[in-house]
Amino acid sequence: MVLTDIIVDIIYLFMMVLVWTKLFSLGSGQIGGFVLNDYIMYYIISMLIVMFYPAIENYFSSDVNNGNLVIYLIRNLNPMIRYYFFSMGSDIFEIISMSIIFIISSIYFGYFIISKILLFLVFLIIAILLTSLFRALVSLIAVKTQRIGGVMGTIFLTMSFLSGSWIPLNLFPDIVQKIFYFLPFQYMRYFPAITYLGKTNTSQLVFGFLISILWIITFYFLFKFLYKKAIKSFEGQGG
Amino acid sequence: MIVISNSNIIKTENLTKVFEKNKPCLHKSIIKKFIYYFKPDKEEVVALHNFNITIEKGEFVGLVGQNGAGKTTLVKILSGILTPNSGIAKSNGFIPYIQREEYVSNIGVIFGSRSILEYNIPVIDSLRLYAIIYNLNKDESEKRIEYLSNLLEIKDLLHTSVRKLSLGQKMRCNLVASFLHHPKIVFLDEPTIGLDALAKEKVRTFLKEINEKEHVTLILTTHDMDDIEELCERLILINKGEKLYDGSLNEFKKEHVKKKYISVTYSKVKDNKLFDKTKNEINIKESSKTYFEGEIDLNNSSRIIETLFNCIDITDLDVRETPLEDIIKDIYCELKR
Repeated sequence: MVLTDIIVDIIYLFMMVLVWTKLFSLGSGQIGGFVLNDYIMYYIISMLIVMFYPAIENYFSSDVNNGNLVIYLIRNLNPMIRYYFFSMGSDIFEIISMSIIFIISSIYFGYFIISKILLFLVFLIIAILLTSLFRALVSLIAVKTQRIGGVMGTIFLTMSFLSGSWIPLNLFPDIVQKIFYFLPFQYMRYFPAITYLGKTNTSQLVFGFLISILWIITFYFLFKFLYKKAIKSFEGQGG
Repeated sequence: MIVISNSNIIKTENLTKVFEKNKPCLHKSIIKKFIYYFKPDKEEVVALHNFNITIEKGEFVGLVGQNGAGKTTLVKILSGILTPNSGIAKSNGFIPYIQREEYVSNIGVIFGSRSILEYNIPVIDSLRLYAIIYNLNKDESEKRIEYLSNLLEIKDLLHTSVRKLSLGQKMRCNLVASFLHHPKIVFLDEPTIGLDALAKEKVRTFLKEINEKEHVTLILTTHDMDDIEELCERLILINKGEKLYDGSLNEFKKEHVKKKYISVTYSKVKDNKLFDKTKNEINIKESSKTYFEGEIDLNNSSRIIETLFNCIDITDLDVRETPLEDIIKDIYCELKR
């Protein structure tokens, strides 16, 4: 299972490298201010960041539906924290293998700079907090409806697109990019990645930091409020 | 405002819980069926109705009732999982469903049909994780694990992963996890369900000992009347969300036991006429040439036994009270009628 996931990751990465190499072979040395190596590295970092995103909604919805949530409600620990670390534990080999690819390619392409790594780690932590809170918030839908696959799929597909998973956001028109600065999504993937690539200046970093912290606080309090309501309407099926 | 005295640990006042469930779709029109798919017709099921109980510290209370009577709903409200529609519950100084996060550090809950231990890791790791969640000191928690493991005889199982354990072993490990943090109250929802006789005995011995030694308040729901007879001094009988009986087990028996059960083995009949007459007073369930067993009226029991001694040569006599199981079964049958 883990090995299959790792192979799928490598195939996806290989496809992206092929697509961008072909695009760059057609002409210009820069697309959207990025050179070929930037794009290759962008997808590697982007995939590494995703590894830290837990499938909270899957665990939560299945525990709500089969009534197992009761086990977590009798502990003084929010079940979302348990789901996060449980998910991390399941993905640990994928994280390690992706980190190895990340370090080797960083050294090879000349991106391995300590100050950049430290800055990246700060935005990675922000991205993890932001995404986990967003996913935990969305997972609460499971209390209201039994089959959440479709709703979740739509939400996460949109989130994935807006966070720059398929196309880096620098390829969008300027006005759209400006709007993205105020939304939480680009801080989930695009922003930490371009920070590592050295494509952000100090004012962008400060602005990005403040906006993402604001979103974390908003999501946190919204989650706290809605979680209480959701648990109140949970009926704990089965004996 | 609910007033709770010092000796009381749990008190509920007019607790009512209503669940909504979908009515079956009986529409013939396809349009109505389509509408039903998005907006099903609902009906209300009353799980608890104006339920009042007071439980004192250190009590061992047995909750008995048919499936769907409201026992588990009561346990879930008292452990903070469910919120009642009306009424109030107070337990260990908290309103469980409002102050759930603070409240649960002082209680333990066992669900017979679910395991509270992590499925894929060894029992000891799950227990240590619980010790961290409950903020226990490392040395203290190790000592506690050792003490409880000895009591429940699970020392050899501590390094086995939960998925490899049998039902009885899993239940004993779950009990260790539930009593790890010195809880003041433990709710046991059918802890002996599906266990063999030996495993049941181990669980019962443990519960009895921990109740006596640590004065933990224990609330037990079960369908096994042997659990109640061996463990509980107080019985609460629930039916359709309402209390049918609340009092001591002995009083309950006195109130409901109207018959005794006798088994007689004899070598010869001394007085045929008297024997036939006496047998008419016995509701015979099974008989052979030199043996019979059946029910006799409680008020006439000593007279009937005395007469039997006069008319037959008894080689073996066994007189038993009607088992609690049969009494409860009779009550359920009466309720259905």
